[in-house]
Amino acid sequence: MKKNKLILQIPKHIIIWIFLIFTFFPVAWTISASIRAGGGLVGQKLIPENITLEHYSNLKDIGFFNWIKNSLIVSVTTAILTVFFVSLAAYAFSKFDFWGKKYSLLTLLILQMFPAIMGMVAVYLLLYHLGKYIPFLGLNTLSGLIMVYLGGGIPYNIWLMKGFFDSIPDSLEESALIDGATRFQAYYKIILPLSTPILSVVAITSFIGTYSDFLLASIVLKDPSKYTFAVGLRNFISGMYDVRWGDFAAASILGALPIVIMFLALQNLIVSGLTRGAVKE
Amino acid sequence: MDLYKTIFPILYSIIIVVIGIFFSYIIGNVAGIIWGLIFFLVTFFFSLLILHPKTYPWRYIVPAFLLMFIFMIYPIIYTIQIAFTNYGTGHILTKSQVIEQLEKETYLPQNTQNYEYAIYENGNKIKILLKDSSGNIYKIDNKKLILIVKENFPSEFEGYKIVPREKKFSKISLLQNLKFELEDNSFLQLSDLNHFSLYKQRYVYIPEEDVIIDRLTNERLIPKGGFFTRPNGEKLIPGFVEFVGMENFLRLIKDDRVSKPFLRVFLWTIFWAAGTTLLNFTVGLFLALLMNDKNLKFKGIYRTLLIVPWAIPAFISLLIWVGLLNTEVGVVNRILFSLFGIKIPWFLETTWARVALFVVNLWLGYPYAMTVCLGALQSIPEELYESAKVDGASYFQQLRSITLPLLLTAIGPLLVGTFAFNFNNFNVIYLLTAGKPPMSDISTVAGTTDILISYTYKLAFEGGRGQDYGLAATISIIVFIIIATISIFNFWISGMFKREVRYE
Repeated sequence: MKKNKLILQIPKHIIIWIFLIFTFFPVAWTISASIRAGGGLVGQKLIPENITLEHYSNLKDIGFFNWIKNSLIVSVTTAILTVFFVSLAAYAFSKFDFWGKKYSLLTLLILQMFPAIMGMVAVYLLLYHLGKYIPFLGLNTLSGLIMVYLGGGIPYNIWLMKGFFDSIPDSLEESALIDGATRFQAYYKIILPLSTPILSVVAITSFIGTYSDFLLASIVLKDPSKYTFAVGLRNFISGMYDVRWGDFAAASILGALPIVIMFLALQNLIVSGLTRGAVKE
Repeated sequence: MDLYKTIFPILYSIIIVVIGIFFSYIIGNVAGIIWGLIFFLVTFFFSLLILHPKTYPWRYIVPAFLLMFIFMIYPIIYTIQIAFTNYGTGHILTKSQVIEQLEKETYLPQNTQNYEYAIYENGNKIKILLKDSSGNIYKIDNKKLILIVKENFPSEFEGYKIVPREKKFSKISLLQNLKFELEDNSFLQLSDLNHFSLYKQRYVYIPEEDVIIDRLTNERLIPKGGFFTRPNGEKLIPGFVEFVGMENFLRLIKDDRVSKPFLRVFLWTIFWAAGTTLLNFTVGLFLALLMNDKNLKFKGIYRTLLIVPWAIPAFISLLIWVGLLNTEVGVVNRILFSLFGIKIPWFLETTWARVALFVVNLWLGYPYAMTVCLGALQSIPEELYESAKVDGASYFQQLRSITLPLLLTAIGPLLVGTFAFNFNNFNVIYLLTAGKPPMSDISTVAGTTDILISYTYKLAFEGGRGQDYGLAATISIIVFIIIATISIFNFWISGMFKREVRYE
């Protein structure tokens, strides 16, 4: 009986292996291209004949580190500020009853249906005009881009975080208030430390979402020195596959690795955050 | 402590009001006074909420809402506004800006007064003296010509020295930009190398009649189609942004050059979103059923490995796939050629480009579908299967009457959400095929694999014949409406407030 079951499982393993091959097909070819002598797509073999690290040492010349620097500035700032603004608002929505609460929550629920990209024309023109008065919020600035990401992520994340705050019993806060703490101290010293899981989920998903965004960054950033990784990499390889494949592969691997490691290491946390009725592919 | 409690809210609300005034001013300038006023009232209202003790919790909310207001809600409103205008290449300035620009233009009337001139300089600064045909020499002061001497230019004037004749022409480039306004609305400008002449303002705007008079030709120019237009139909450049009513929406239906590509893009968008969602969830469910087995060895490792495409930022994988699918030298075609002797024109033919999109988006999307299905499968109570076994139900009977119905109720809203996501999946389309191949029979920016959102992007930012923000915003609104309908439907099937949809 037991043996029978094990034999039954062999087809399962075979099917899963087929999918693993499909999954790792592009990964393997990219790794191979990144360590293969010669730069183009032509004649690439899965196991490279001559191994070299020149593509990795080329990265400095193609501006890779500048892209990554810009991406990190934008993503880290967006993540931190999102957590800051969202946690304050979510706290109020979760722990208070006040005038306007119901309709504000409803508004947020409706707003979070609209991805920021649908307003891209207006975002572009808004930044264009803003820049004439406030240069650091204009087109072609990282700070302007950060503001757009920040504004777009607020509605969904308030709902997400409010859900978590709701699950923290009020009694904890009440005892602190009886001891003479102010509401803000209660938020800061009781609620926030208890909420590290959801704070990390919001921070990490904002970080990854911002790091991976191509569309808004490509609209806002025009000057190559301001490019984020997504825009820089696209412009670097677009139409140049036959000569830049090796350098591109090296950049892809170095640029993706931190995100992949972060995602896999924290997969339970992230997946629970993302699949809470959410969609991301 | 009490002092702090009163001062803090006051300070806080003052800051909000200051920010409000600042942005209202800008928005008022950009979008019109009404919008500036609305924005100011909103921030003023926020500051009242901060001040009032009973609405104290708003102190926590206002910063987030203010950001959301400027960078999310306002763009949505602005999009709607743009959709009813002709905003785009050739129509960038507002009407008053265009009038202001036109009113600066001058013309040379017949029988005008010509003046010889001499240049005087003092360091970097220069002055001009003028001589009319009867030999009177004038200086220009306070919009008036003032007679100073007769016959000959003095060698020195108010501390400035005359520039000798042979050096005079090296200053010409400076003189060309000079324009002296005189009292009677005429201008002194350089007319040839040796003369300044009296120019007249060419275009005069008459607000009461909303026309521009061309004083050179004596024509009345009326605003039409975003341009001031002469009686013979000639348009004056630049054009201005103008309210065009429903015209952009009508173009989507009536104007063949717009409606044909729009309809095709629209149908493909729906086919794409439905097809790719179904494919991904079918494969994801299949894998989840395989993996949902306590006795399966290496289950944890398999799950982690299969999730890898989800972990890689999509734009990187997409750019890699473009290389792998290269028709001539890509790895995929080389393998296919050595195995079957075929080369597939992945991005050159519509059908194959679409197959490539489905396959690559399967690669990107099945880990999510699998994870979601696995979660739903594990939440189905074990007892249901046990009692089914007691009743003698086979594996497929259990699948059909227990697993699938329960699974569908659990993942139904997610299916709809994924459909909405793919409906707007700009990255996959734009980075993989960029909408190509082009539509061969129509002249348009849209390609045969473009979806609405990438078509919008191209109209607004890539138009070969200029940018059409108005039309792009119009299509955005249609996308808004579709997504909103889907989302409301989704709330309805999942129960309002029970789930939160979408990740960005």
